[in-house]
Amino acid sequence: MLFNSLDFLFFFPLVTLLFYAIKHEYRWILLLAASCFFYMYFIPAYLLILLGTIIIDYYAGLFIESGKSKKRKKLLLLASIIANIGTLAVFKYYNFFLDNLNIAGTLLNGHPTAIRYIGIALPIGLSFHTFQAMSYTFEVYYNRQKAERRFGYYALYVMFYPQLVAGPIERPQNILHQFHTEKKYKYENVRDGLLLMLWGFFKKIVVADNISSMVNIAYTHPEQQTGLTLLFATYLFAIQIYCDFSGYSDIAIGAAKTMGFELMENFRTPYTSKSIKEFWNRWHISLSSWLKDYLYIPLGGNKVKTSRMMLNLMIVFTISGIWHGANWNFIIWGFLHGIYLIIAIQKEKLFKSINVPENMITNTVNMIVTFHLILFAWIFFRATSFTDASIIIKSIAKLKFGLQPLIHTLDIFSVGEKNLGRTLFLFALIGGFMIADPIMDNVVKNRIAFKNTFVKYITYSLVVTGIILFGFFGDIHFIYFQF
Amino acid sequence: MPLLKKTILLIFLSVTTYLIVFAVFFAIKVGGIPLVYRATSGQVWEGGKTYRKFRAFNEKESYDAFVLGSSHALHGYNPEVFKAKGIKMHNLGTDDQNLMCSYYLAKEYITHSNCKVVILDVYDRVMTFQNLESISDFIQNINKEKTAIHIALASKDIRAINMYTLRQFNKFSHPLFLNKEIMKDGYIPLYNQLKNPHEEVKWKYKTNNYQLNYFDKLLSYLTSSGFKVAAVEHPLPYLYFPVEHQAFLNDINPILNKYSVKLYDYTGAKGLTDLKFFADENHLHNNGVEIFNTLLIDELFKDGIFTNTLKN
Repeated sequence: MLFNSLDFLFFFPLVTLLFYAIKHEYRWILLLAASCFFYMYFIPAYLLILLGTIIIDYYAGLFIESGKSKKRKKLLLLASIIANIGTLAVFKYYNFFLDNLNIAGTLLNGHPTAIRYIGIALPIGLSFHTFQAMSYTFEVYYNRQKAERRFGYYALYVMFYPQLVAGPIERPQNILHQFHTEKKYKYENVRDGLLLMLWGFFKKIVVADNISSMVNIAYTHPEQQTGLTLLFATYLFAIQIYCDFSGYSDIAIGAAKTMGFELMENFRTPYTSKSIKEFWNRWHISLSSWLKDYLYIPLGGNKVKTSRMMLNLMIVFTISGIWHGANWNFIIWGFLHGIYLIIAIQKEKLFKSINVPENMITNTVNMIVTFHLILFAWIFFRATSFTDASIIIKSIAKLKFGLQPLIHTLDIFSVGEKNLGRTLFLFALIGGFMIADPIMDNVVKNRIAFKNTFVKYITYSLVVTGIILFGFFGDIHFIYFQF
Repeated sequence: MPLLKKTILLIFLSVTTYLIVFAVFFAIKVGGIPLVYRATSGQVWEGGKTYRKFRAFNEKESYDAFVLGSSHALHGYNPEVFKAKGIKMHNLGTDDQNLMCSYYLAKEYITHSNCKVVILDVYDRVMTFQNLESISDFIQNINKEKTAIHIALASKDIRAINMYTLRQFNKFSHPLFLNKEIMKDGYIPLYNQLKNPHEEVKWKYKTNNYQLNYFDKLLSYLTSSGFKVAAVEHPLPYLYFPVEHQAFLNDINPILNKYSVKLYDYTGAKGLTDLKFFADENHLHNNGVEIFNTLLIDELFKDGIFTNTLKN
């Protein structure tokens, strides 16, 4: 089920009301049933895949904990990792692997391999719940989490509907114990959760989905576009992906919060970062911390020679790219971020050694440079192929400014609606959003602004009005669902 | 219950704010058009063919047949040709008409006192998507308030709130434009001649369960209410892809069989494959319509859908 669907508008209040209406000991059944229903809205049969990995990891957790020797524990952990990564490999990477094998086969032997492709759709959110399941077995292995005895509670840990299909990728220490603790109805939880959801919906439906059609126009046939159009589209994509994914996270965190569950923060105004390192502490926090804890640190982290540390970073970010999708563009995107980070670390060392001061000017310059580095990498993330990405970069490099190219660009963006006025209006709306976002982010997450009740209610009413009046309610999925 | 109180307060304030903002966007005009048309998505202007059609239609008058469907129906069924064969027909086709709108038209405009036979024009391309334009067109332009509300609710689309609000605001102003084409009993003839057809890119039919569901509901309603029903697919030689067409037939045939409704399929098209019969790649011109309608009427007489008692 999509958060931005009418079905969710009925599903969410019903589940929340029932949650508070029934006794604590039965709530896990309700949440598990609701989560199954939520997941089965996409392709029902995929529930079986999820169930298979849940059973494997549940028993793996129990056996790892009771394992007598370190070697046995390690073997069990390895079996669990193979089961999880194997599922990912089959459903997500098999065809990609075969594609490349065929290219290699054609180059070497003059013909592709005879191996068949799998004609199945990728189960929704597979990368998310696989990583969440793996974090459980890792934590049990490292003795930081007790194995869950009750199968239903463990299944709920993997399947909890708010974060099942696109995160945040939770850790067992944060969420499992919350299912065991009785949640009493608290007005503050419901209020804060609903506000977070409201802002998430605004970001997704009003900003991201309206931008989506403009970006699609430019990126579908980049060879037909001017450099200025593609540059605009790339800026717009940066806003779109932020609003789409952070909007989803806000709705997920808010939906859990209404029932008293605290999920981890996933975004913290990432485009205000002054370095790539800071960006990764603010963007998709649950994934970057997962990669740090379960990959970067076990590889040696910072406590190794500089050359090894650089290699570790490249491994982690390339894997991050692969995690996003079975496509060379995602791998290049991850690779680019790895390179950025290595350069950033070296730059930081250099600046420290020559005592470059930190002030408003250097901070602003750093922020602008960081944002544009991220922007450059987004080209690979959004383009449908490496060839398209090359065309886009070449066109942007040759871009011409002026009134005529600008009018042409606005005209291109209005093709979907044949309405230049609407494009200009949307640009004004996006500009307004960029000013309002840090303020609203602070309001819905920290509840520290709006001491004046009147201003507060008018603001919330305007957000609701904005969603209904300016929202784009077409059939647009969340971008991160594909991962 | 602070939550309930505050929620009610927020709903009340949101509705008020929404109406105020809407009024402001309606009052501000850019190039003579209210800003609300630019700011919200999926709005069809008030006025035009549907506006005129339903204001000219007298549902108290008795007819032998009605035609429902998209632009193929609107431009493809000439009441004059039917009249020459003794059948009094009125054309209720509208651009992009989706089957949900056809369903509410049938329920709220067609009665036993004004109709005996319903000709439903089906078109695979229209049935592949939900057609927001059709929903917006009906909400803005249909004359009955009840039908506009039903279509808005049945659309299950939040944008219908804006469309319906716009309908109410439009009551305070004149339609943005008026259609001036020739319209005879709901039929708009096309007279131009297709010269150089655009090269058609490959097209793929995609099942749309929303449309199929309303196709089923529409046939169920019409047949259970005792109307004779004929499903027709308009000639379409230039946009005819046999494989895609078969996929479409595979979707609709079980529903047609369920209600024993015959499909009169002219896509291939029995004497109407020549370019000279078409106004554009998609629509017959008036002379082409005459040939097509004559063929169809004869078939309908042969199958007993039209009978001589209708003539009397």
